[in-house]
Amino acid sequence: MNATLSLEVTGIDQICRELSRRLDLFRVNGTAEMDQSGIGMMEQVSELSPYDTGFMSSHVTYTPLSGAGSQGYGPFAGAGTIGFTVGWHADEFHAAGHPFYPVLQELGTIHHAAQPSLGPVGRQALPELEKDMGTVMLRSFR
Amino acid sequence: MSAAVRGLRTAAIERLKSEATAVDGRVYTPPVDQTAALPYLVIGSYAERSSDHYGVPGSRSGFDIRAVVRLAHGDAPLLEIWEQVHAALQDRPLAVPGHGVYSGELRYVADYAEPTDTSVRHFVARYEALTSVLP
Repeated sequence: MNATLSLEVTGIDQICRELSRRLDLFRVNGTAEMDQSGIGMMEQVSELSPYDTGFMSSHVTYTPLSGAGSQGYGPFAGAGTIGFTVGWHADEFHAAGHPFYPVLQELGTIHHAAQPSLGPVGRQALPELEKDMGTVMLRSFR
Repeated sequence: MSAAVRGLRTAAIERLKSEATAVDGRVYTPPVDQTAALPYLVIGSYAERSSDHYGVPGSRSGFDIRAVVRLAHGDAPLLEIWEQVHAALQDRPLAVPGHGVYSGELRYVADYAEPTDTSVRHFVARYEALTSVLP
């Protein structure tokens, strides 16, 4: 007769499934939070940017960066990149026959003082986004 | 609570005048005379927000440092100034009366040509520091 005496440990797979579910929840809620913040930043930059013809103010764009990727491992594999950019694209200016001047407005030249909009909005909004994303994470994993 | 950015600005100007030898003491705040000799540094675009640490009042402060350089053959002079600014400020807290300064970090933001004279180039870096009010 063969007998065994052993200690059986199970349930790790259930933990992985729950972590995966909560990660999906964080991804959905985190993306929504980022969308809201990014669109708000775009609107603030548009309001703050120097106004002459209105071209720069009306061509601030918000571009989400979410997409599949191979980052992460275990339950986080395939999480990809979630984020956004706010700013201006040179090709839109060139297509309209303008040089790409937002960098000169933002940072200044010898003849013209800087009239920043992107920097001040980012410095004000990004710490708030950091706090809000922390709240989203706590709610997703609690 | 007293503000920290003005003291940081003053201390940064003193250190850069002493250690950024490539600009030969030409460290300014705006407005800068358009005929000023090159190269020079300009400090501006200040920001400060409250950042208390374990109940001690403090701030996160920052400003831009812009270099304006005339280039003839290659961009080595521009990079030399960046290296000197970096050596003067990165991870070397400044002394600000009434404040403890816990960090000093530089971030290279951009470089670009002066639109009316492409032999003149700018670089812009962002300096940020964490401070607390001393009792």
